[in-house]
Amino acid sequence: MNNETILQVQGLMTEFRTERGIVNAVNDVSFSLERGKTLGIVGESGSGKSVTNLSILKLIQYPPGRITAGQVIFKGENMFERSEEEIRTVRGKHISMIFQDPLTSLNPVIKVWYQIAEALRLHHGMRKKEAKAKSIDLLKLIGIPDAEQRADNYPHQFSGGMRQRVMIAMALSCDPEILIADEPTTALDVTIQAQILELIKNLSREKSTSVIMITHDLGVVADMCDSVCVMYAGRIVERAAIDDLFYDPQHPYTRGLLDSIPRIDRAGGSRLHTISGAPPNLIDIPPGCPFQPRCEKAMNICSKQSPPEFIINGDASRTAACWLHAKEYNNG
Amino acid sequence: MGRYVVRRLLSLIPVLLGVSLIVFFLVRLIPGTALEMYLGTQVEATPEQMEELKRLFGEDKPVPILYIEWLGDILRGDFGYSLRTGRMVLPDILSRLPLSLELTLFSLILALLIGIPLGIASSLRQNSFGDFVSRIGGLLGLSLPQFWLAALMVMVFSRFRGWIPMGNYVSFFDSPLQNLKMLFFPSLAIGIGFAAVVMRYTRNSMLEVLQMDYIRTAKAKGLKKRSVIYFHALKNAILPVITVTGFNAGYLLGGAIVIEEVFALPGMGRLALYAIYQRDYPIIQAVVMVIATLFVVVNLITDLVYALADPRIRLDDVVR
Repeated sequence: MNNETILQVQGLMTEFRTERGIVNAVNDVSFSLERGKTLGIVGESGSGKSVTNLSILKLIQYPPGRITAGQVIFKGENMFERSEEEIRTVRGKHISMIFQDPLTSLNPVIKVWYQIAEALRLHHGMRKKEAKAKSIDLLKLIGIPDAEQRADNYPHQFSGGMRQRVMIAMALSCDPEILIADEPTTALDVTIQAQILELIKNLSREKSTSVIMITHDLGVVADMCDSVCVMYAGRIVERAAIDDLFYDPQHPYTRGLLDSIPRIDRAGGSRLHTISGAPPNLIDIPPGCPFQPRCEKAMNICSKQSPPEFIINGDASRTAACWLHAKEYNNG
Repeated sequence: MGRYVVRRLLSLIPVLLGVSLIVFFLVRLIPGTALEMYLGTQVEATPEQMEELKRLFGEDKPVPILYIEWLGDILRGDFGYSLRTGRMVLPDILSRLPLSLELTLFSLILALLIGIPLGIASSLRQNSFGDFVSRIGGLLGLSLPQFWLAALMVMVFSRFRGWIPMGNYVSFFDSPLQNLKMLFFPSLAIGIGFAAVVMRYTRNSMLEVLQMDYIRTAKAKGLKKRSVIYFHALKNAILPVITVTGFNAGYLLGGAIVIEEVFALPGMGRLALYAIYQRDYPIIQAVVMVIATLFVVVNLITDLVYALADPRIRLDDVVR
């Protein structure tokens, strides 16, 4: 039971057709998620982390978005071979999502309890009254004071943190096996952020829910995750267990990210590290490593050929897509 | 909300005062006075007779004085007498008002029944052939003048087909079916342009709403497409349609005035039209006052409906 894989994403490709050309938002991404574990997906804006996760539930809007290759295996079944109707019954019941901005992600003209109750009525066949009672229980669980009265409120009557709590109640209403949290704290105050993360952590531990935590904040990753995938330009450039990532980063991009975090234990006065340049335009990705133009350690081969994911130290869950590791790869 | 309604109704006072001022002086700017229209060109009258007629037609005093007298009268609920028939103005208007209101309401309902479903369907198949056809149809509906459409309908459906019962108007309360039959085509003629407006608003608003984050949330919950579109999306997309409906209800009433004439329906509009031909000032003035009142009331109703539909609006906070 310990290492049971609940979700597996393999060779996922998602593209967007725009007027200027095809954007390869997700380019051959694979990862797996174990039951009860928390996987972090880190990357800067536009690295394809949100699109990857929207693709899992086929929530990419077509047009312009389209999943062109890959499979998502949830409990042994390939989701992409299922009908739209079958995927619909997975959404919200087995896999649910929390989004970045709770204000725009809640329907402004529908009462809060009703929005929570919808999934319960749909997936568990609850009656309206029963679902309302359960919604109020959920609101209490996530720490909304006066839940009975607040249930009849509308989203705009809640504060940002409370709204995100409502989103969490909504996502967890049907006890899903997987919770995908897409930057759940980005739109919130710092003080509220910690509370929300704590809430997600506790609730998912209690029910041994697997979590995919999408974020650009390495602090969140350190706090929440068991393992991490670092994404850059639609690809996973490094994957590692949490400690390995922070203590022994292998990809120059990851190193750059870690160096750009201000640290209290370093001598003051030194300038904070930055990664120069900007992420590549995803419309025509140049041949070679997408990080090569910004990489301090770029070699000849980097601009010619895109590196595969090299396995490090013989551990399949520890990879880096960087030519620096080609030797290790060849040796073992 | 009660306070809000009272405040809005109080705003009727300055509105009606302004309207009364404008209409009173404006109708007198139309060339030809009531008396001249009455006499025509052939009548010879002695100066004494003319004096008497002028007094009867209320043309013996300067206009500002007349205005103040008239204002005093209507404050006491007296809208005066028709210069032509000599009958009291208000009962005449009130007896014809129901038909005009029914026509307006009926055309409004027709427009919404046509416009909203078409708009939704169009938005769901954006840039498809069907969307294209309904947008072109909408543009056409918007561009066709009501009176032309009405005349065409009278010709085709009444003369050749006999679908529109002509002759004496039957009230809804006497014979609902006959009444609706009589009013269907007139209402269609009035409402078709507005149906196009509703269609376009619904379509654009739906397209915008369907991009919203909360629609993604609704889908992520596993909701059926039906409830995503008709509940989550439509509940938001309908808001601008409510606003535009409120604005246009007044114009539909204006449309009714012209269309009543084409279909020979004895409504308030027809009364007003003949009053204008004959410069029957008291009737014109009273009709305009009634319409202005309706306009304000309709706008108030619109705001109340909007507040019901959008919980973010709290009327008592709105400063006007």
